[in-house]
Amino acid sequence: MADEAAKPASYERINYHLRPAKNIERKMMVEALRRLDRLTNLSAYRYVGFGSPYFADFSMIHKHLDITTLISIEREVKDKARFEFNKPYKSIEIRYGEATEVLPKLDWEQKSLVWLDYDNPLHPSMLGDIEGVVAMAAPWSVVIATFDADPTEPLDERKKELEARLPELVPPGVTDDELGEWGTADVTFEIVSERLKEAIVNRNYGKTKATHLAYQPLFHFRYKDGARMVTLGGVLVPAADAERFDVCGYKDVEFVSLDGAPYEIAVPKLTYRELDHLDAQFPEPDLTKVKRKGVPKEDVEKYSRVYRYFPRFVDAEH
Amino acid sequence: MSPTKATSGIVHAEPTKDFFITMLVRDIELVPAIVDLVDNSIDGARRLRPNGNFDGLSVRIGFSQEEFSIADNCGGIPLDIATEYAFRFGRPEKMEKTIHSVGQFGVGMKRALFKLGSDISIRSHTAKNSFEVFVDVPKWRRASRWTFPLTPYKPSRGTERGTYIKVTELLAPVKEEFGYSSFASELVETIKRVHGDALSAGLSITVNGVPISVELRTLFESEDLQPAYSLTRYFEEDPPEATLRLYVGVSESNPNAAGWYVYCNGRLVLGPDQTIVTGWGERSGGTIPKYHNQFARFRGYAFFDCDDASRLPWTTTKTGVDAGHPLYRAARTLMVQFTRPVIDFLNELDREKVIPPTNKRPLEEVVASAEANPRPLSALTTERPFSAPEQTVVIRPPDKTSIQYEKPTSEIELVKKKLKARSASQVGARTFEYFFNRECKK
Repeated sequence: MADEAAKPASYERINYHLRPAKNIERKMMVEALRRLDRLTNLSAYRYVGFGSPYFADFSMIHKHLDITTLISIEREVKDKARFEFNKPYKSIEIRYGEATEVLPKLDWEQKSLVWLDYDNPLHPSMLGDIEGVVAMAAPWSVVIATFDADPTEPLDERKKELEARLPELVPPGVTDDELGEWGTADVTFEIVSERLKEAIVNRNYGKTKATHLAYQPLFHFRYKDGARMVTLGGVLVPAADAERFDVCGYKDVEFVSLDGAPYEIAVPKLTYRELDHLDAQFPEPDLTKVKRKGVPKEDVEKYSRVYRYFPRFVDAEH
Repeated sequence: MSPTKATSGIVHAEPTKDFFITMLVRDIELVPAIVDLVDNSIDGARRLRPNGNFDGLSVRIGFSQEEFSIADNCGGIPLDIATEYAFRFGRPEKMEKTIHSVGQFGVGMKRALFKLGSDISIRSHTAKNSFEVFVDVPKWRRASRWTFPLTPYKPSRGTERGTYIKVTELLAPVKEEFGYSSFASELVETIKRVHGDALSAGLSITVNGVPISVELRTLFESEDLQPAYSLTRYFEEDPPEATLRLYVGVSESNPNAAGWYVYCNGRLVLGPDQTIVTGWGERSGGTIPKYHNQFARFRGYAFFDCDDASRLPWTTTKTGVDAGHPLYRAARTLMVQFTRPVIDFLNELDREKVIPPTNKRPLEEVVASAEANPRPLSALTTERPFSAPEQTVVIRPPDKTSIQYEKPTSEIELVKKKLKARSASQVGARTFEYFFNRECKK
């Protein structure tokens, strides 16, 4: 049983499978995006995502945001029958191919909510995808991207690996130790943010001021269900509406990052009974008043930030 | 040496004549230098015929071991322009700009002439007056003044209004290049490619008496296969606006002609290009694969136009684009977006060779039937994306490689027994699977 000992405890493995942090991330995003309705008709958006066979994001987006035009980009053509079978809603259209191939062929007249949930480490072609979306997307479109940012390489090979994977893109001065923990996520965030900035400049070039767009950051999540992941995203706000953007009240939303600062989704490991016990005492701004019943203090703190989004697994994907 | 205490004063920054005579000329090759002289004639034609119809106008290039000449009937250089501006190095601010010009730096003509030889004469005959400028390069080099002598001359009756440039005392490398029989054809091909627009507009260009033909730029078109056309306008703080026209599609399979062609005010400055400059290769965030011969049918044409030439992404040699120019950077993103669907189509087309198509109609046939109808770019005026038949998705079977190796028979027999295998090849396959399943799956 020596092998068994090296593996993480079983409840951790279950958590990994169900990906609670990712689940929370989706819910937070949806809650934040709903506020865009104060400025622009949300149900008129089109959602573009990578549904895979689970379509978890599609279900949420359709149910909670009333978005009915749904496009899933799927690269595994060989499992076509399975994907078609798993479509939770009729209006989901699956476009087969790599994102790089499919994105330029979509019609971009309609404002879009695009979530490029790569699940892989950043690759130059992904920057091209993002730049393409920014170049084509209608005003008010939302661009979100998620990357694996786990420093899996041996300590002294991290920088080498990163530079090989992202030639000419790694900021000078990055060192191997800086790429540990959330360091790889930070560099990923920086590289993608740079490209977004450039893409906006290119998009606005030679356009009349009134039609300029600005990239307004909304999300910078980091979480770790298994591998460390980083998500960033924002809205392409028409320059003319920049001031009105405040009505969304994003500055009051704790997990929304208007300035690009990261928000870590930390998931405490609690039993259902503990969850119920804590829920009954929330909301409670003063956590010292909470009766913990042996739950570690930091877990109470973590839970207080995510309790409204916390998945109960029977309810996780539907 | 004892240190000298610095006092305020000036430092000298004037150019030396050698900088122009022997340095600048290294940045350009002979053919593009000569094409630069053609650019001047074309700008003359533009001033003479703002409507863009160049019928009856001509540029005649001649070269031998003794001399080089270029003559045109494109209006000549007005005297005031000649005395104040045309021979200055660099374009003076006050000089009136030619609308939609192809010259704009004020370096091309002088650089080309210095590249060619050391005895130069430029004759201009305009509606108002006629003059000749002589440059004895070695003499000018020694002189301290930055002027060339100009003398009026009396043209004979019937002299056309235009410019006539003659260079003798050709430099040794020029003589050598002029001696190659391939030089004329290289010059002709370059002018044909670079000045397709001016040739189409009716300008006649000859090299040693042989006229250069117009080559029509076309893309295949049929009901099933339609090239993309898009028009983007770029405004700046004040007019004039710049425009970008993109034409992207497929044409004959020719690796030497495939790629992107970039034009500024009708003058080709780059192409056919198959490098990162026009988006090929995934370096620094591209999404288009590296150029490969299966894309030999790819053609992309990007036409930048602006009445104010200084707003376009030229380089001074006009043998490339200023890739860092904000207009070009903005355009490049669009070019990449337009490249993608054509590349995907060509990949499908290529895949047909390996996996027989499940479509009713093979793509090869779609292309072949469109081949009968090459459409000139000028006939594509409706904005639309590239379209080709949606291909039934073909699943590529995984690539396979066979392995062969030898091991002692006794050992194989042992493994065979353990595996309950019937043959040595089963032993090989199953031992591989055993390792793969335990070590390589996830």
